[in-house]
Amino acid sequence: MKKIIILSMILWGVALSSLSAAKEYMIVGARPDKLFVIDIKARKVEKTFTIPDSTAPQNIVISPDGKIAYVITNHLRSIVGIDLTSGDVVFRADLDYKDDERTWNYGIDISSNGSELYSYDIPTKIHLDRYESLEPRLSVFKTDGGLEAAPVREFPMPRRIHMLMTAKSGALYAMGWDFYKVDVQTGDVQVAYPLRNWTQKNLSQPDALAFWPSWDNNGIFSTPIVYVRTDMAEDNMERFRTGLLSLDLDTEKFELTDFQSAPEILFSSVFHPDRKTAYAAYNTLIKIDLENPHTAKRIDLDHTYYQTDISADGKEVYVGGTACDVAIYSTKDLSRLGEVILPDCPDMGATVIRMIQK
Amino acid sequence: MTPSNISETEMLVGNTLLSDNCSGCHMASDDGSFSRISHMRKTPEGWDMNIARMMIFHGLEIEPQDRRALVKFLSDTQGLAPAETAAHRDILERKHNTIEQDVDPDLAAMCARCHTYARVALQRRDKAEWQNLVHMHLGQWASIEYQMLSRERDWRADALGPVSEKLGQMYPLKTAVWADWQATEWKDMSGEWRIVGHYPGKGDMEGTMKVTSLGGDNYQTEFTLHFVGQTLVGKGKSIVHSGFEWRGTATFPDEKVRQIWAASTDGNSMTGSFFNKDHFEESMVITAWRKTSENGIMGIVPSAVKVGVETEVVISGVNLSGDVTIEGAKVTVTSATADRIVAQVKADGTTEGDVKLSVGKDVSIQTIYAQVDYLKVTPEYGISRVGGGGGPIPKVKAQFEAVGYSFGPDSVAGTDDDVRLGMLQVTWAVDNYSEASAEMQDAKYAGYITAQGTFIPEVAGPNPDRKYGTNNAGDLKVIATYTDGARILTAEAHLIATVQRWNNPPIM
Repeated sequence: MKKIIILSMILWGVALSSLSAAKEYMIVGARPDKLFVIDIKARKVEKTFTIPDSTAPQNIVISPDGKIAYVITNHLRSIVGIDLTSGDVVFRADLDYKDDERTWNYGIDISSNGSELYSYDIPTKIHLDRYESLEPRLSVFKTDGGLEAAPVREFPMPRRIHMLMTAKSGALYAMGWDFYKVDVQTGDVQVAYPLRNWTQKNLSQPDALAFWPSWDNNGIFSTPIVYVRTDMAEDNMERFRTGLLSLDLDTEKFELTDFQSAPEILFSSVFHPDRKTAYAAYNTLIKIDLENPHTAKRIDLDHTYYQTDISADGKEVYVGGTACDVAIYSTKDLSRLGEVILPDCPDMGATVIRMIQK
Repeated sequence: MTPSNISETEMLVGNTLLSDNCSGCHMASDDGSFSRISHMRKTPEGWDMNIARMMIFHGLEIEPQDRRALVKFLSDTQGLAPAETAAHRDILERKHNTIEQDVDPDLAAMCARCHTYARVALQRRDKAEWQNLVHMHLGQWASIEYQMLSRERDWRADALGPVSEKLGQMYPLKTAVWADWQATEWKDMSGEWRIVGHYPGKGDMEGTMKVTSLGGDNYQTEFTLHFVGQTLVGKGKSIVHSGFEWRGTATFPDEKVRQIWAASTDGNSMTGSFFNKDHFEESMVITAWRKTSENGIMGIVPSAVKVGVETEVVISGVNLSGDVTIEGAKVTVTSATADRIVAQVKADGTTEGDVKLSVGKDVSIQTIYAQVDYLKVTPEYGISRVGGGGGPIPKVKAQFEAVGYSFGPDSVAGTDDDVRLGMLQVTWAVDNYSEASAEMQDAKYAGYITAQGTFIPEVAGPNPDRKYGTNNAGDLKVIATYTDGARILTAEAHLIATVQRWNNPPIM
């Protein structure tokens, strides 16, 4: 036990020192072909990269060393790895690598050691005069696969998955009809947390369509999730409920936190690093008290924002996506602290926010 | 086998077009069929959308005249019979504000959450071809499995399984009604036609259309249309597909119009919509009669006259002759031709409601009323769309109209004996529909309504003055106020002032 404590103290110390020396950056994409590195505390875009042969960047995955951003672009049909120092393209997989297929990516993440990319692919076989929808698959790419990367392993997967995330242990989780745990070596898929057939007492089948990775600074996946209390009277609007579904990427524990009825649409959420509060946004930004689950504060945003994220020190909550600005609020009282407007106001659309230290 | 209405030459030319333009991907078989193409039937618009999709998604390059010729050939040889389109003509004819009725709830959730149900119901395929259509959807739009109303089900399994099965049963490739229609002689549409219609907010129209054959089911058209205080003369061209699907364009001094009409099976009448080329919401529904030896009254304007008020009534029809009488009214004919009779009519109050109007041996109905008892605004549920503002999509206006009613003999509103009195002159206003729209100040931002009942939406794009910087959409009520001496009557309709449609295919 003593050893473990000492070891964790050392690790914590290393983490702290690297944190204090490192600067925090936000990575976002924008249409048609831009990737931005933002010095978020300085409220300044530090670098703008152009992604070659790109139309619509969306998901972004950062290598564990913070050096490479793997961007899903071309309307979910290409993975492009960009060196965040030089802007060089160091990896590219155009998913239509099989001649007669058209393939979309609906989820991506990277292994804990940074050596493999996991891509959830939905292929369609294109015959001369017809389409044939095929079963989805998990394609595993080596990150050193070069500029015409092809998968080194492929496994069949359930349909309708929309998000992949790698736990610290290296286990891959996939959110879809249910939350699955995927063995990336064998392709074995197990239900880790049932959603479509969940057994929550007096709750309807839930609905959540999460695309937003907000775990960079807190180690926990979370998403708003809505459902109906089936034990409440039909005319009681309180029966429409909103919760946060979370997966701790350290402990691999799921949690459902019911915190309010359903007065607003919420697209995404982010936990505070101290796990005592969380934040969720769409047209409004709300602060959620997780210790005594309820909405502690709500403000109207100037426009719709898709993704919510947070600074490593837990002082600032960010909302981005949708338009060309990232708005910055205090986690304490949701007061406005500032904003970053991307150069030439490009459309972020459904691009995600990633946070890195370097 | 060559259908009786298509000549052998036309078959040869059509099949050559298919071979030249399509056989690179659609394999020709020894029996003369082409893979996929020969296993479905569609409306002219359906075939045209099909060709457009081949051009956009699959790189087909085709000359415009060949595209038109293929639409014609495919509609004639693999079209829909009149009875097969009857339930879905409002969508086919691009009538604005249409809310589709009697839609199978299964198919509504599967198909009509993205496009109209008519787009499905105006096609005929067997199960395997419906399944090919499902595969096409999955191959083109992966998000289809993730959207609301599909993500909670196994969309792919449902669509390929029970839904394709049901579609194959409801809308199969081979039907007796199409075989019968192919065996029926398709009529030449040349000749003199009488035409009547109603243009919401503007009033009634009556006129003539002269149709001259240009060969190959193509026609030249000449229109003379009379509105109250205005006569419009226009010229155009039309084509008839599938033996009854009349499609026309015409140019009038101030606008270009389109026609999507269906001819009756005897070829002697047509009905459909007559709309502005760029604004299909500016549309009137018309009825056209071929001038034959048959007599008939087509329309009476106004349809209702008030007791004691001398009113000019125009009776439109074909081969009108003889005395004009209206039960309970004094009629003085001021001009009369075989097409059109103008009369001064004064009802004496001895009778009210729908009474007999006679012209010689032809009989129709004139309505007599003492007062307007209540109003209705039509449509009850209207749609406008923001547009312009530097964007590529123009505004879509919403036209409302107030219609008067009398209670009828039972003096109760909303019962079967109520009598429709026609369009009334009213004043118009809009207001917030709900508490939520009041909070968002929709009535302030969404647009305004003219004295003619036309709602003009605001420009498209985010509005920084609005809460959430939202666009100029709104949820509104449209209020009509009718003043009759000291009596004031009002009625309301619901208006969704919404966002643009970015994709406006011929069948929505």
